[in-house]
Amino acid sequence: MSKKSFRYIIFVGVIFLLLWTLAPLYVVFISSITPDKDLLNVPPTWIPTPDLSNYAYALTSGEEGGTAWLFRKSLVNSFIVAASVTVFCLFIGGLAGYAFSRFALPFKDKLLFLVLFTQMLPVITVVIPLYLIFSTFRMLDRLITLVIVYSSFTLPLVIWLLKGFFDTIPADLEEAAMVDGCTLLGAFFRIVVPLSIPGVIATGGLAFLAAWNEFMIVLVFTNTAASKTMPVAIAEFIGRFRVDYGLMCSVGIIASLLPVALALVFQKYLVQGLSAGGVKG
Amino acid sequence: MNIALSLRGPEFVGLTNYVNALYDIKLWAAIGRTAYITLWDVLVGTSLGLLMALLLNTMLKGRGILRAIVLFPFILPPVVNGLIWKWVYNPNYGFLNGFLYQIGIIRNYQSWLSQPWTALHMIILANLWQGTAFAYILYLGGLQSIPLQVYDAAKIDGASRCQTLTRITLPLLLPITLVVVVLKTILTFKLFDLIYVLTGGGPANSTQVITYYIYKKSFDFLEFGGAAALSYILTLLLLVFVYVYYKLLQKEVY
Repeated sequence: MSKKSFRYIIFVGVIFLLLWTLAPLYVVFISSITPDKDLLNVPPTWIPTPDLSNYAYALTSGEEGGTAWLFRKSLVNSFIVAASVTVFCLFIGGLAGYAFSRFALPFKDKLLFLVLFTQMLPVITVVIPLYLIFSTFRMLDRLITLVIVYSSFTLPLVIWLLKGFFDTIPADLEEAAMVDGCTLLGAFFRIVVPLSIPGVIATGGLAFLAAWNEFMIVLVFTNTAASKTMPVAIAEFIGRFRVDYGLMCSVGIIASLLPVALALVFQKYLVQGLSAGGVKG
Repeated sequence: MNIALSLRGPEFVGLTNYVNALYDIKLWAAIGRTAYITLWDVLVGTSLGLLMALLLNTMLKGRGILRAIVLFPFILPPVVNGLIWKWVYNPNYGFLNGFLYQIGIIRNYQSWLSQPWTALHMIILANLWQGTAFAYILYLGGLQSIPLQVYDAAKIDGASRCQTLTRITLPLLLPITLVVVVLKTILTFKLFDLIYVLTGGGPANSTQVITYYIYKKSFDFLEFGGAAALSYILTLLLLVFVYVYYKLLQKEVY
Protein backbone atom coordinates (compact mmCIF):
# COMPACT_ATOMS: atom_id res chain seq x y z
CA MET A 1 0.00 0.00 0.00
CA SER A 2 1.44 3.35 -0.99
CA LYS A 3 1.71 6.16 1.50
CA LYS A 4 -0.84 8.22 -0.40
CA SER A 5 -3.59 5.59 -0.46
CA PHE A 6 -2.91 4.86 3.21
CA ARG A 7 -3.51 8.50 4.07
CA TYR A 8 -6.66 8.45 1.95
CA ILE A 9 -8.04 5.50 3.90
CA ILE A 10 -7.24 7.21 7.19
CA PHE A 11 -8.99 10.36 6.01
CA VAL A 12 -12.16 8.51 5.02
CA GLY A 13 -12.06 6.64 8.33
CA VAL A 14 -11.89 9.86 10.30
CA ILE A 15 -14.84 11.30 8.37
CA PHE A 16 -16.96 8.21 9.09
CA LEU A 17 -15.91 8.25 12.72
CA LEU A 18 -16.96 11.86 13.13
CA LEU A 19 -20.27 11.29 11.36
CA TRP A 20 -21.10 8.23 13.46
CA THR A 21 -20.21 9.91 16.74
CA LEU A 22 -21.41 13.43 16.17
CA ALA A 23 -24.49 13.12 13.94
CA PRO A 24 -26.93 12.32 16.78
CA LEU A 25 -25.36 14.99 18.97
CA TYR A 26 -25.53 17.51 16.14
CA VAL A 27 -29.22 16.76 15.61
CA VAL A 28 -30.03 17.41 19.25
CA PHE A 29 -27.86 20.51 19.34
CA ILE A 30 -29.46 22.16 16.30
CA SER A 31 -32.92 21.27 17.58
CA SER A 32 -32.10 22.97 20.85
CA ILE A 33 -31.34 26.23 19.02
CA THR A 34 -34.12 26.01 16.42
CA PRO A 35 -36.96 28.50 16.89
CA ASP A 36 -40.11 26.67 17.97
CA LYS A 37 -41.94 27.41 14.72
CA ASP A 38 -39.27 25.66 12.62
CA LEU A 39 -38.82 22.68 14.93
CA LEU A 40 -41.76 20.72 13.59
CA ASN A 41 -40.91 21.16 9.92
CA VAL A 42 -41.22 18.12 7.66
CA PRO A 43 -38.57 17.38 6.44
CA PRO A 44 -36.56 18.83 9.32
CA THR A 45 -34.38 21.96 9.21
CA TRP A 46 -30.73 20.87 9.16
CA ILE A 47 -29.25 24.34 9.53
CA PRO A 48 -31.45 26.59 11.66
CA THR A 49 -31.26 30.28 12.45
CA PRO A 50 -29.87 30.18 15.99
CA ASP A 51 -32.29 31.01 18.76
CA LEU A 52 -31.23 30.62 22.37
CA SER A 53 -34.65 31.05 23.97
CA ASN A 54 -34.80 27.39 25.03
CA TYR A 55 -31.58 27.76 26.99
CA ALA A 56 -32.72 31.03 28.51
CA TYR A 57 -35.94 29.37 29.63
CA ALA A 58 -34.26 26.21 30.94
CA LEU A 59 -31.64 28.14 32.90
CA THR A 60 -33.43 31.20 34.19
CA SER A 61 -37.22 31.24 33.98
CA GLY A 62 -40.21 29.06 34.62
CA GLU A 63 -42.34 29.14 37.77
CA GLU A 64 -41.36 27.24 40.91
CA GLY A 65 -42.29 23.59 40.52
CA GLY A 66 -42.38 23.85 36.72
CA THR A 67 -40.27 21.82 34.29
CA ALA A 68 -37.37 24.26 34.02
CA TRP A 69 -37.30 24.84 37.77
CA LEU A 70 -37.31 21.09 38.48
CA PHE A 71 -34.50 20.62 36.02
CA ARG A 72 -32.33 23.30 37.62
CA LYS A 73 -33.01 21.90 41.07
CA SER A 74 -32.08 18.41 39.87
CA LEU A 75 -28.83 19.70 38.35
CA VAL A 76 -27.85 21.20 41.69
CA ASN A 77 -28.73 17.92 43.42
CA SER A 78 -26.70 15.95 40.89
CA PHE A 79 -23.72 18.19 41.44
CA ILE A 80 -23.91 17.95 45.23
CA VAL A 81 -24.21 14.17 45.10
CA ALA A 82 -21.50 13.62 42.49
CA ALA A 83 -19.04 15.97 44.18
CA SER A 84 -19.61 14.39 47.61
CA VAL A 85 -19.21 10.89 46.20
CA THR A 86 -15.99 11.88 44.44
CA VAL A 87 -14.38 13.46 47.51
CA PHE A 88 -15.47 10.68 49.85
CA CYS A 89 -14.39 7.85 47.52
CA LEU A 90 -11.04 9.43 46.72
CA PHE A 91 -10.25 9.82 50.41
CA ILE A 92 -11.33 6.35 51.58
CA GLY A 93 -10.34 4.64 48.33
CA GLY A 94 -6.93 6.31 48.41
CA LEU A 95 -6.16 4.91 51.84
CA ALA A 96 -7.56 1.48 50.97
CA GLY A 97 -5.76 1.40 47.63
CA TYR A 98 -2.52 2.32 49.37
CA ALA A 99 -3.00 -0.53 51.83
CA PHE A 100 -3.65 -2.98 49.00
CA SER A 101 -0.64 -1.69 47.14
CA ARG A 102 1.96 -1.69 49.94
CA PHE A 103 1.03 -4.08 52.73
CA ALA A 104 0.89 -7.84 52.91
CA LEU A 105 -2.75 -8.46 53.80
CA PRO A 106 -4.30 -11.86 54.36
CA PHE A 107 -6.43 -12.99 51.38
CA LYS A 108 -5.27 -9.93 49.45
CA ASP A 109 -5.86 -11.38 45.99
CA LYS A 110 -9.24 -12.80 46.91
CA LEU A 111 -10.27 -9.49 48.47
CA LEU A 112 -9.16 -7.58 45.41
CA PHE A 113 -11.19 -9.86 43.21
CA LEU A 114 -14.21 -9.49 45.46
CA VAL A 115 -13.82 -5.76 45.07
CA LEU A 116 -13.83 -6.21 41.32
CA PHE A 117 -16.74 -8.61 41.36
CA THR A 118 -19.11 -6.14 43.03
CA GLN A 119 -18.34 -3.86 40.11
CA MET A 120 -19.68 -6.42 37.64
CA LEU A 121 -23.13 -6.93 39.11
CA PRO A 122 -26.06 -5.13 37.53
CA VAL A 123 -27.48 -2.55 39.93
CA ILE A 124 -30.94 -4.08 39.63
CA THR A 125 -29.79 -7.15 41.58
CA VAL A 126 -29.15 -5.05 44.68
CA VAL A 127 -31.89 -2.46 44.29
CA ILE A 128 -34.55 -4.47 46.10
CA PRO A 129 -32.56 -5.20 49.29
CA LEU A 130 -31.20 -1.65 49.36
CA TYR A 131 -34.68 -0.27 48.91
CA LEU A 132 -36.03 -2.36 51.78
CA ILE A 133 -33.13 -1.43 54.05
CA PHE A 134 -33.34 2.30 53.45
CA SER A 135 -37.09 2.29 53.70
CA THR A 136 -36.81 0.64 57.14
CA PHE A 137 -34.59 3.50 58.27
CA ARG A 138 -36.91 6.03 56.60
CA MET A 139 -34.03 7.28 54.52
CA LEU A 140 -35.52 7.07 51.06
CA ASP A 141 -35.79 10.28 49.10
CA ARG A 142 -32.74 11.92 50.67
CA LEU A 143 -29.54 13.11 49.02
CA ILE A 144 -27.35 11.61 51.73
CA THR A 145 -28.79 8.18 50.91
CA LEU A 146 -27.79 8.61 47.28
CA VAL A 147 -24.28 9.60 48.34
CA ILE A 148 -24.01 6.48 50.54
CA VAL A 149 -25.32 4.10 47.88
CA TYR A 150 -23.27 5.58 45.03
CA SER A 151 -20.15 5.53 47.16
CA SER A 152 -20.69 1.86 47.87
CA PHE A 153 -20.88 1.23 44.12
CA THR A 154 -17.97 3.45 43.15
CA LEU A 155 -15.55 2.74 45.97
CA PRO A 156 -14.50 -0.70 44.62
CA LEU A 157 -13.51 0.81 41.27
CA VAL A 158 -11.69 3.66 43.00
CA ILE A 159 -9.73 1.28 45.23
CA TRP A 160 -8.87 -0.93 42.29
CA LEU A 161 -7.70 1.97 40.11
CA LEU A 162 -5.75 3.82 42.78
CA LYS A 163 -4.03 0.59 43.84
CA GLY A 164 -2.87 0.23 40.25
CA PHE A 165 -1.52 3.78 40.15
CA PHE A 166 0.21 3.47 43.54
CA ASP A 167 1.86 0.26 42.36
CA THR A 168 3.76 2.27 39.75
CA ILE A 169 5.40 4.51 42.37
CA PRO A 170 8.59 3.03 43.82
CA ALA A 171 8.35 2.34 47.55
CA ASP A 172 11.93 3.63 48.01
CA LEU A 173 10.65 7.18 47.89
CA GLU A 174 8.43 6.73 50.92
CA GLU A 175 11.12 4.82 52.74
CA ALA A 176 13.51 7.70 52.19
CA ALA A 177 10.87 10.12 53.49
CA MET A 178 10.27 7.96 56.56
CA VAL A 179 13.99 7.76 57.26
CA ASP A 180 13.91 11.55 57.25
CA GLY A 181 11.20 11.46 59.92
CA CYS A 182 7.94 11.34 57.99
CA THR A 183 5.13 9.22 59.42
CA LEU A 184 3.48 6.61 57.23
CA LEU A 185 0.46 8.84 56.62
CA GLY A 186 2.76 11.81 56.09
CA ALA A 187 4.65 9.88 53.43
CA PHE A 188 1.37 8.90 51.80
CA PHE A 189 -0.01 12.43 51.63
CA ARG A 190 3.28 14.22 50.86
CA ILE A 191 4.97 11.76 48.52
CA VAL A 192 2.59 9.19 47.07
CA VAL A 193 -0.48 11.36 46.46
CA PRO A 194 1.34 14.24 44.72
CA LEU A 195 3.16 11.74 42.51
CA SER A 196 -0.06 10.02 41.45
CA ILE A 197 -2.03 13.17 40.60
CA PRO A 198 -2.82 11.92 37.05
CA GLY A 199 -4.22 8.72 38.53
CA VAL A 200 -6.21 10.65 41.10
CA ILE A 201 -7.65 12.86 38.34
CA ALA A 202 -8.59 9.84 36.22
CA THR A 203 -10.18 8.06 39.15
CA GLY A 204 -11.94 11.14 40.46
CA GLY A 205 -13.29 11.93 37.01
CA LEU A 206 -14.72 8.44 36.62
CA ALA A 207 -16.23 8.49 40.12
CA PHE A 208 -17.84 11.83 39.36
CA LEU A 209 -19.24 10.62 36.04
CA ALA A 210 -20.62 7.43 37.59
CA ALA A 211 -22.57 9.42 40.16
CA TRP A 212 -23.59 12.13 37.69
CA ASN A 213 -25.00 9.57 35.25
CA GLU A 214 -26.62 7.03 37.60
CA PHE A 215 -30.30 6.49 36.95
CA MET A 216 -31.82 3.32 38.37
CA ILE A 217 -31.18 3.94 42.06
CA VAL A 218 -32.40 7.50 41.96
CA LEU A 219 -35.45 6.40 39.98
CA VAL A 220 -36.45 3.94 42.68
CA PHE A 221 -35.27 5.84 45.76
CA THR A 222 -36.58 9.35 45.22
CA ASN A 223 -39.97 10.88 44.68
CA THR A 224 -39.70 14.59 45.43
CA ALA A 225 -37.81 17.45 43.86
CA ALA A 226 -35.74 17.72 47.04
CA SER A 227 -33.66 14.70 46.08
CA LYS A 228 -34.28 13.95 42.42
CA THR A 229 -31.16 14.17 40.32
CA MET A 230 -30.74 15.20 36.70
CA PRO A 231 -31.22 11.79 34.98
CA VAL A 232 -34.55 11.19 36.64
CA ALA A 233 -35.72 14.75 35.95
CA ILE A 234 -34.88 14.26 32.27
CA ALA A 235 -36.55 10.85 32.09
CA GLU A 236 -39.73 12.33 33.58
CA PHE A 237 -39.61 15.19 31.16
CA ILE A 238 -39.32 12.85 28.17
CA GLY A 239 -42.10 10.67 29.54
CA ARG A 240 -44.67 13.48 29.45
CA PHE A 241 -47.57 13.11 27.09
CA ARG A 242 -46.94 16.45 25.44
CA VAL A 243 -43.23 17.23 25.18
CA ASP A 244 -41.65 20.56 24.33
CA TYR A 245 -38.99 19.09 22.02
CA GLY A 246 -36.84 22.22 21.79
CA LEU A 247 -36.67 22.53 25.56
CA MET A 248 -36.04 18.78 25.84
CA CYS A 249 -33.04 19.03 23.53
CA SER A 250 -31.56 22.05 25.30
CA VAL A 251 -31.95 20.30 28.66
CA GLY A 252 -30.11 17.28 27.25
CA ILE A 253 -27.27 19.47 26.00
CA ILE A 254 -26.95 21.26 29.35
CA ALA A 255 -26.79 17.94 31.19
CA SER A 256 -24.03 16.78 28.81
CA LEU A 257 -21.81 19.83 29.22
CA LEU A 258 -19.98 18.62 32.29
CA PRO A 259 -19.16 15.11 31.00
CA VAL A 260 -18.12 16.56 27.65
CA ALA A 261 -15.87 19.10 29.36
CA LEU A 262 -14.32 16.31 31.42
CA ALA A 263 -13.67 14.31 28.25
CA LEU A 264 -12.09 17.27 26.45
CA VAL A 265 -9.79 18.27 29.30
CA PHE A 266 -8.93 14.89 30.84
CA GLN A 267 -9.30 12.59 27.80
CA LYS A 268 -5.94 10.96 28.35
CA TYR A 269 -6.46 10.31 32.04
CA LEU A 270 -10.01 9.03 31.61
CA VAL A 271 -8.94 6.58 28.92
CA GLN A 272 -6.07 5.49 31.15
CA GLY A 273 -8.42 4.96 34.08
CA LEU A 274 -11.05 3.12 32.08
CA SER A 275 -8.59 0.79 30.42
CA ALA A 276 -6.81 0.15 33.72
CA GLY A 277 -10.18 -0.64 35.30
CA GLY A 278 -10.81 -3.19 32.59
CA VAL A 279 -7.56 -5.03 32.13
CA LYS A 280 -5.17 -4.57 35.00
CA GLY A 281 -4.88 -7.73 37.02
CA MET B 1 -47.07 -0.32 49.58
CA ASN B 2 -44.56 -0.71 52.40
CA ILE B 3 -47.32 -0.80 54.96
CA ALA B 4 -49.12 -3.60 53.18
CA LEU B 5 -45.90 -5.53 52.91
CA SER B 6 -45.06 -5.19 56.57
CA LEU B 7 -48.58 -6.01 57.78
CA ARG B 8 -48.61 -9.26 55.90
CA GLY B 9 -45.10 -10.06 57.03
CA PRO B 10 -42.78 -12.36 55.19
CA GLU B 11 -43.87 -15.90 54.66
CA PHE B 12 -41.51 -18.79 54.00
CA VAL B 13 -42.09 -20.16 50.53
CA GLY B 14 -39.07 -22.38 50.04
CA LEU B 15 -37.88 -22.47 46.46
CA THR B 16 -41.27 -21.55 44.99
CA ASN B 17 -39.96 -18.31 43.50
CA TYR B 18 -37.11 -20.10 41.78
CA VAL B 19 -39.36 -22.85 40.43
CA ASN B 20 -41.77 -20.23 39.15
CA ALA B 21 -38.89 -18.43 37.47
CA LEU B 22 -37.88 -21.57 35.61
CA TYR B 23 -41.38 -21.84 34.14
CA ASP B 24 -41.57 -18.11 33.42
CA ILE B 25 -41.69 -17.73 29.64
CA LYS B 26 -41.27 -13.97 29.90
CA LEU B 27 -37.99 -14.48 31.75
CA TRP B 28 -36.58 -16.73 29.07
CA ALA B 29 -37.78 -14.38 26.37
CA ALA B 30 -36.07 -11.49 28.18
CA ILE B 31 -32.83 -13.44 28.53
CA GLY B 32 -32.96 -14.40 24.86
CA ARG B 33 -33.56 -10.78 23.85
CA THR B 34 -30.69 -9.59 26.03
CA ALA B 35 -28.43 -12.23 24.50
CA TYR B 36 -29.47 -11.08 21.01
CA ILE B 37 -28.63 -7.44 21.81
CA THR B 38 -25.36 -8.62 23.33
CA LEU B 39 -24.51 -10.59 20.21
CA TRP B 40 -24.82 -7.45 18.08
CA ASP B 41 -22.90 -5.43 20.59
CA VAL B 42 -20.09 -7.97 20.78
CA LEU B 43 -19.80 -8.58 17.03
CA VAL B 44 -20.31 -5.09 15.64
CA GLY B 45 -19.29 -3.06 18.68
CA THR B 46 -16.02 -4.89 19.14
CA SER B 47 -15.08 -4.60 15.46
CA LEU B 48 -15.97 -0.92 15.36
CA GLY B 49 -14.01 -0.33 18.54
CA LEU B 50 -11.00 -2.08 17.03
CA LEU B 51 -11.20 0.01 13.87
CA MET B 52 -11.50 3.20 15.94
CA ALA B 53 -8.48 2.25 18.03
CA LEU B 54 -6.38 1.40 14.95
CA LEU B 55 -7.39 4.69 13.37
CA LEU B 56 -6.73 6.85 16.41
CA ASN B 57 -3.47 5.12 17.21
CA THR B 58 -1.94 6.39 13.96
CA MET B 59 -0.25 9.73 13.85
CA LEU B 60 -2.70 12.27 12.56
CA LYS B 61 -3.53 15.91 13.04
CA GLY B 62 -5.96 16.66 15.85
CA ARG B 63 -5.66 13.18 17.32
CA GLY B 64 -6.12 14.46 20.87
CA ILE B 65 -9.43 16.13 20.10
CA LEU B 66 -10.64 13.13 18.07
CA ARG B 67 -9.83 10.84 20.98
CA ALA B 68 -11.91 13.05 23.24
CA ILE B 69 -14.83 13.23 20.80
CA VAL B 70 -15.18 9.46 20.43
CA LEU B 71 -15.56 9.24 24.22
CA PHE B 72 -18.68 11.42 24.23
CA PRO B 73 -21.31 8.70 23.68
CA PHE B 74 -19.78 6.55 26.38
CA ILE B 75 -19.52 9.18 29.09
CA LEU B 76 -22.78 11.05 28.49
CA PRO B 77 -25.53 10.15 30.93
CA PRO B 78 -27.32 7.09 29.43
CA VAL B 79 -30.60 8.90 30.02
CA VAL B 80 -29.37 11.73 27.80
CA ASN B 81 -28.43 9.13 25.18
CA GLY B 82 -32.02 7.94 25.44
CA LEU B 83 -33.20 11.52 24.93
CA ILE B 84 -30.96 11.94 21.90
CA TRP B 85 -32.22 8.79 20.19
CA LYS B 86 -35.82 9.42 21.21
CA TRP B 87 -35.62 12.66 19.27
CA VAL B 88 -33.70 11.14 16.33
CA TYR B 89 -36.29 8.33 16.05
CA ASN B 90 -39.29 10.62 16.56
CA PRO B 91 -42.09 9.36 14.28
CA ASN B 92 -43.38 12.78 13.25
CA TYR B 93 -40.43 15.18 13.28
CA GLY B 94 -37.38 12.95 13.77
CA PHE B 95 -34.18 13.37 11.81
CA LEU B 96 -33.83 9.68 10.96
CA ASN B 97 -37.16 9.88 9.18
CA GLY B 98 -36.24 13.22 7.65
CA PHE B 99 -32.90 11.96 6.39
CA LEU B 100 -34.18 8.67 4.96
CA TYR B 101 -37.07 10.55 3.36
CA GLN B 102 -34.83 13.17 1.79
CA ILE B 103 -32.45 10.65 0.25
CA GLY B 104 -35.44 8.67 -0.99
CA ILE B 105 -35.14 5.43 0.99
CA ILE B 106 -38.55 5.73 2.65
CA ARG B 107 -41.67 7.31 1.19
CA ASN B 108 -43.52 7.76 4.46
CA TYR B 109 -42.35 8.62 7.94
CA GLN B 110 -42.06 5.50 10.07
CA SER B 111 -42.71 5.15 13.77
CA TRP B 112 -39.59 3.20 14.54
CA LEU B 113 -40.25 2.51 18.16
CA SER B 114 -43.80 1.23 17.85
CA GLN B 115 -43.17 -1.87 15.75
CA PRO B 116 -41.56 -4.79 17.59
CA TRP B 117 -38.82 -5.62 15.09
CA THR B 118 -37.67 -2.08 14.34
CA ALA B 119 -37.95 -1.09 18.01
CA LEU B 120 -35.57 -3.85 19.06
CA HIS B 121 -33.08 -3.00 16.33
CA MET B 122 -33.26 0.72 17.01
CA ILE B 123 -32.38 -0.09 20.62
CA ILE B 124 -29.46 -2.15 19.33
CA LEU B 125 -28.27 0.77 17.21
CA ALA B 126 -28.50 3.23 20.11
CA ASN B 127 -26.72 0.76 22.38
CA LEU B 128 -23.96 0.30 19.81
CA TRP B 129 -23.49 4.04 19.57
CA GLN B 130 -23.26 4.29 23.33
CA GLY B 131 -20.95 1.34 23.95
CA THR B 132 -18.47 1.27 21.08
CA ALA B 133 -16.08 3.65 22.80
CA PHE B 134 -15.57 1.11 25.56
CA ALA B 135 -14.08 -1.44 23.18
CA TYR B 136 -12.07 1.38 21.63
CA ILE B 137 -10.61 2.35 25.00
CA LEU B 138 -9.51 -1.19 25.82
CA TYR B 139 -8.05 -1.72 22.35
CA LEU B 140 -6.20 1.59 22.43
CA GLY B 141 -4.60 0.50 25.71
CA GLY B 142 -3.71 -2.80 24.07
CA LEU B 143 -2.17 -1.11 21.03
CA GLN B 144 -0.12 1.24 23.15
CA SER B 145 1.30 -1.65 25.12
CA ILE B 146 2.78 -3.31 22.01
CA PRO B 147 6.49 -2.40 22.07
CA LEU B 148 7.61 -0.27 19.15
CA GLN B 149 10.68 -2.48 18.59
CA VAL B 150 8.37 -5.20 17.27
CA TYR B 151 7.26 -2.86 14.49
CA ASP B 152 10.80 -1.71 13.79
CA ALA B 153 11.89 -5.32 13.43
CA ALA B 154 9.01 -6.00 11.03
CA LYS B 155 9.94 -2.95 8.98
CA ILE B 156 13.56 -4.06 8.71
CA ASP B 157 12.36 -7.47 7.55
CA GLY B 158 10.41 -5.71 4.83
CA ALA B 159 6.86 -6.30 6.05
CA SER B 160 4.18 -4.20 4.34
CA ARG B 161 1.57 -2.25 6.26
CA CYS B 162 -1.03 -4.96 5.65
CA GLN B 163 1.32 -7.70 6.76
CA THR B 164 2.24 -5.79 9.90
CA LEU B 165 -1.44 -5.44 10.71
CA THR B 166 -2.50 -9.04 10.10
CA ARG B 167 0.68 -10.81 11.27
CA ILE B 168 1.68 -8.67 14.25
CA THR B 169 -0.92 -6.23 15.51
CA LEU B 170 -4.04 -8.39 15.33
CA PRO B 171 -2.50 -11.55 16.85
CA LEU B 172 -1.06 -9.47 19.68
CA LEU B 173 -4.52 -8.01 20.30
CA LEU B 174 -6.16 -11.41 20.62
CA PRO B 175 -5.89 -11.71 24.42
CA ILE B 176 -7.38 -8.25 24.88
CA THR B 177 -10.17 -9.17 22.49
CA LEU B 178 -11.26 -11.89 24.90
CA VAL B 179 -11.38 -9.34 27.71
CA VAL B 180 -13.36 -6.93 25.51
CA VAL B 181 -15.91 -9.60 24.62
CA VAL B 182 -16.44 -10.69 28.22
CA LEU B 183 -16.68 -7.15 29.57
CA LYS B 184 -19.01 -6.03 26.78
CA THR B 185 -21.26 -8.99 27.53
CA ILE B 186 -21.40 -8.08 31.21
CA LEU B 187 -22.02 -4.46 30.32
CA THR B 188 -24.85 -5.21 27.88
CA PHE B 189 -26.58 -7.43 30.42
CA LYS B 190 -26.82 -4.31 32.56
CA LEU B 191 -28.65 -2.35 29.84
CA PHE B 192 -31.57 -0.51 31.44
CA ASP B 193 -31.59 3.28 31.09
CA LEU B 194 -31.91 3.31 27.30
CA ILE B 195 -34.79 0.86 27.39
CA TYR B 196 -36.54 2.83 30.11
CA VAL B 197 -36.36 6.09 28.19
CA LEU B 198 -36.86 4.83 24.64
CA THR B 199 -39.47 2.08 24.78
CA GLY B 200 -40.32 1.09 28.34
CA GLY B 201 -39.88 -2.52 27.25
CA GLY B 202 -42.55 -2.25 24.57
CA PRO B 203 -44.12 -2.57 22.09
CA ALA B 204 -45.61 -5.91 23.12
CA ASN B 205 -42.57 -6.62 25.33
CA SER B 206 -40.36 -6.69 22.24
CA THR B 207 -37.58 -4.73 23.96
CA GLN B 208 -38.01 -6.05 27.48
CA VAL B 209 -34.52 -7.05 28.56
CA ILE B 210 -33.71 -8.93 31.71
CA THR B 211 -32.92 -5.94 33.96
CA TYR B 212 -36.05 -4.18 32.83
CA TYR B 213 -38.16 -7.27 33.50
CA ILE B 214 -36.80 -7.54 37.04
CA TYR B 215 -37.40 -3.83 37.55
CA LYS B 216 -41.01 -4.10 36.42
CA LYS B 217 -41.60 -7.17 38.52
CA SER B 218 -40.35 -5.42 41.63
CA PHE B 219 -41.60 -1.89 41.31
CA ASP B 220 -44.62 -2.13 39.01
CA PHE B 221 -46.05 -5.46 40.13
CA LEU B 222 -44.45 -5.36 43.61
CA GLU B 223 -43.48 -9.02 43.46
CA PHE B 224 -40.32 -8.51 45.50
CA GLY B 225 -39.84 -12.22 46.19
CA GLY B 226 -40.11 -13.28 42.57
CA ALA B 227 -37.91 -10.39 41.46
CA ALA B 228 -35.27 -11.25 44.05
CA ALA B 229 -35.18 -14.82 42.72
CA LEU B 230 -34.68 -13.44 39.20
CA SER B 231 -31.89 -11.22 40.49
CA TYR B 232 -30.09 -14.27 41.84
CA ILE B 233 -30.53 -16.09 38.55
CA LEU B 234 -29.09 -13.09 36.70
CA THR B 235 -26.20 -12.91 39.14
CA LEU B 236 -25.38 -16.60 38.65
CA LEU B 237 -25.54 -16.13 34.90
CA LEU B 238 -23.09 -13.25 35.05
CA LEU B 239 -20.91 -15.07 37.53
CA VAL B 240 -19.95 -17.38 34.69
CA PHE B 241 -18.67 -14.44 32.67
CA VAL B 242 -17.00 -12.86 35.66
CA TYR B 243 -15.20 -16.15 36.32
CA VAL B 244 -13.96 -16.29 32.72
CA TYR B 245 -12.84 -12.68 33.06
CA TYR B 246 -11.01 -13.50 36.28
CA LYS B 247 -9.20 -16.39 34.61
CA LEU B 248 -8.23 -14.15 31.70
CA LEU B 249 -6.78 -11.56 34.07
CA GLN B 250 -4.83 -14.22 35.92
CA LYS B 251 -3.13 -15.18 32.70
CA GLU B 252 -1.88 -11.60 32.73
CA VAL B 253 -3.05 -10.15 29.52
CA TYR B 254 -0.65 -7.29 30.00
